Amino acid sequence: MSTAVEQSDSQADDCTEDQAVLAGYVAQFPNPSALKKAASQVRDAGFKEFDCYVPFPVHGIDEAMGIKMTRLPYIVLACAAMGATTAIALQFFTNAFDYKYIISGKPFFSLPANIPITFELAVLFSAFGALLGMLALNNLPKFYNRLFLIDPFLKATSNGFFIAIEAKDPKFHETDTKEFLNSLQPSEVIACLEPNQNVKIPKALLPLAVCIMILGLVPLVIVARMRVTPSTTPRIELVHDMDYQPKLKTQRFSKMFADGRGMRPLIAGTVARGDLRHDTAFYEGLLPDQADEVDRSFLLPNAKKPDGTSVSLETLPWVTQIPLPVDEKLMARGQERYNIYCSLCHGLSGKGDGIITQRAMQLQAANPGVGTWLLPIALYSEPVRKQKVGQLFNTITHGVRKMPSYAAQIPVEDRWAIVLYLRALQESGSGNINDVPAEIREQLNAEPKP
Amino acid sequence: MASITTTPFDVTVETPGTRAPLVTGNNDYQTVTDKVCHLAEKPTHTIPKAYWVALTLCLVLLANLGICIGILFTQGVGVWGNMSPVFWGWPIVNFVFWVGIGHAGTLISAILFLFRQNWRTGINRAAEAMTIFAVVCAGLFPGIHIGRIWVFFWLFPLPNSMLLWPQFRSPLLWDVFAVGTYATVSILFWYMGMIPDLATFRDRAVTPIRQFAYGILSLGWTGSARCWHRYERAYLLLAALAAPLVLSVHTIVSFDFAVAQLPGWHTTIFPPYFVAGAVFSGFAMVATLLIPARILCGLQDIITIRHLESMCKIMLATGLMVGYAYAMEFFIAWYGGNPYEQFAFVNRAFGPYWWAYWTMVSCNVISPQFFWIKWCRTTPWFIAIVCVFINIGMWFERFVITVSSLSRDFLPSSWGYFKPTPIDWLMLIGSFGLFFTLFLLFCRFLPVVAMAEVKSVMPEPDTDEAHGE
Ligand code: HEC
Repeated sequence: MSTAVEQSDSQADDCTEDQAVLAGYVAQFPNPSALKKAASQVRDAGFKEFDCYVPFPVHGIDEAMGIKMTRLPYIVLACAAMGATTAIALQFFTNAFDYKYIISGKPFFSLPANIPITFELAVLFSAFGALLGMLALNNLPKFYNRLFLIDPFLKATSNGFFIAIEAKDPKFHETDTKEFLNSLQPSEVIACLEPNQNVKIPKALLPLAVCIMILGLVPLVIVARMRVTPSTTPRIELVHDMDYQPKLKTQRFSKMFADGRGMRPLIAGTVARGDLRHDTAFYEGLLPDQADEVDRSFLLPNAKKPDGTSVSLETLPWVTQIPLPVDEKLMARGQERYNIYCSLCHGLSGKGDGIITQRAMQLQAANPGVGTWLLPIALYSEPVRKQKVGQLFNTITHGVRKMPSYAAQIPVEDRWAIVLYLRALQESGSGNINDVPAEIREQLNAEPKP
Repeated sequence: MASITTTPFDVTVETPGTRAPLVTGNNDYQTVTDKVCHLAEKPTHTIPKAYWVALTLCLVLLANLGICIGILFTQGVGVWGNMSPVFWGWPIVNFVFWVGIGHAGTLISAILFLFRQNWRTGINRAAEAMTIFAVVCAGLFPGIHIGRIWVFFWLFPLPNSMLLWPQFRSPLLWDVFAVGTYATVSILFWYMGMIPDLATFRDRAVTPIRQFAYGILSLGWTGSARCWHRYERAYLLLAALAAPLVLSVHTIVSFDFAVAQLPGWHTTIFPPYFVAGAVFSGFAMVATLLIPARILCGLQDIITIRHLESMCKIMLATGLMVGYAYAMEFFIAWYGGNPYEQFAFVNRAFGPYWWAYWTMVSCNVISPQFFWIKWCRTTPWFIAIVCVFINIGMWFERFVITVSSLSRDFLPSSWGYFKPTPIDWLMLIGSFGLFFTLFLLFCRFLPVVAMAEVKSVMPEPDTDEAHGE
């Protein structure tokens, strides 16, 4: 057996791989008290690099070996302080600063309500501090230890009591130390060899480890990139939450019904809510007693009779009275709605000079033969004035020739209000100063021109 | 190594001036090690049949739990009986029940450690394991009750696209932190306690797989006295941290109720009352587990009748505290003069849930009274029966508190009667499957007894100096 007593770096480098080097001596003792006695003698002999190995914490061994009190409690205290500070900061930032919670008018930040979490985090942090601090101070985890190579030493975790003096110790001597240990009455003294002196991590592992680490970052980089890159495809939904719920939509097939239709037709003899438009005067502008005879398709724009001639709307039985109480409020409402919906084409006065019309005429003039825009007739012109209110109402409801229907935008009451206002426009557009009551004529003249 | 000879005598007799040994029989350090490692080192085919039967049964229950959870996730929380006005039904009852069970483990390992109760060494490992498994079962219920399980992380203060933070003044959030911390610290404490024993397993291992697995888990522990010094400090610190922690956990769980204004919940007695109940039920569960486990693992010398007796005494004491709390709740309801509070309590005892209330009282207050009698405290099968009743009673306590108060809230028009569904039942039973499966695996693969700690309280061989008292 070749052993090197003194170890210096140069010597260690000289050793070949299978050369085992003496790393120290291990002495086994029969029981804890023998161990304790021996330990204090080793200590008194001035050894520093020695240790006892026992299956359980033997009381009094710390004093026998001269172990100093560990720093661990300070580490744990620091962790506790860190935990408490983190908790307070977290609660302050989240609930009193970044997103202020208003709860029964209580202050945004009040210590008592924050104590439970502060306590919990302080305990959590210090528990980690205690375990990890203990491991770090003990140089653990350390999976290779030359002591494990000594067979009897495996008893140290069940019922063996050992003292090991390391060759590192300045007072260590190959023979003297062995004799010294023998003098302590151990059951045996074993030489601890280090066979793996020159075993090093293979050099190739380093680049390999670097490569693996870099590759490990790739998914993270992809995720980070995707977070900042806009995408036109819909997001991937692992769980749909309530975005897609099973339901029947219009025109969908359904197995639930015999006819396979998702949309249900009305049950014979019933009327859907709001669909009972019994009052034809109000809803259609037709006289109730003659409404039954009117073919409703005639009301649509550009309607034709079965014989191919076009319908003359004027001959239909229109109502002549607005079927609502006529008052100033209705008139004001009509003016407001007219200005919103109709003035764009017909102009504020009904002359037919709304901004859309003006623009369309400009475009048509610039590009002859392109446009099909029709200049609307002035609403106060003779033919329109002669129309009954029912027909005007119908014009808004269904549209007329080029003009589209406004039924979808304008509720029935508002259509009547607009009709009322049309009548006012017609009065003002076709009348003269004599139609104005004498007492307010002055007022008209005094009005400053815009 | 010479063995200590102990004349067989009754360890449950207290003789003034002497302390009964904690480990009975002719045991020395080696035999204690052998006994503790026994079940874990047995080749698979020599394991007692009873173990396999028990494991199979538990796995069936566990599978049932898995299926129930699957149904819950695909169908939604409507599969439970939670229904207006009782929105907190069995899941919360099970949660409080399990979290309470866990408390005994920490109490034994931390508080009894601080009080230098050396008898704890025989049972603390198993009790800590039980704590962790109980917390696993407890964490399961709030974990799955949130409906949209895939956004469970909303429980934690994480920055999110809604720019919202959790509400830190809510006891429910305190609960997340308390139970989370409790689970983590329990695992750290348990694992740290096991490191030296895992090293024993490693050093005794004969197969490479065991050597490797226990080698990794034991982190290279050698038993160095310098390491032990820091280890003991760390253990003391963890115990000192875990002791207030365990009290805080059930206190905060009780805040979930006590901070609400519901009659029957809004009482200041809840924190101490919950903690006492938790310890009570936890000890009952430890005893229920250890009575068969000590036979299964052949540990009668280490987990002795004296240990069981001590646990019975604690159950008797905490059972009386719980009984006192029940009486005090009634007294305060009357003395406080609040008619709603009075109604809530009369309703508990004589309303539609009278059967639950009186099951609770008879199991929790009457059954532990048997432990006044020495025979009852020292006869394992009898203890086991009483403990089962205590656990039933403690489950009903949480049921009574949760359901009886919720079903009679402030608006009489919404009053209702809670009915559990079969899924509720299967999940409760399944959680026991989870708990016992984990415990059985623990018995097979990990050191069931803290060997190092037991050895440190055994009298030293060949000398007169006794370490254990
Ligand atoms: C998109 C532009 C446009 C809007 C908006 C519009 N109209 Fe017209 N309107 C026309 C045009 C174009 C005609 C001429 C149709 C034709 O002669 O082919 C017309 C014609 C009419 C006529 C005459 C019908 C007839 O029998 O000669 C009336 C009345 C009328 N509109 C009322 C209204 C009212 C009331 C509104 C507001 C609800 C309105 N219009 C909104 C473009 C519009």
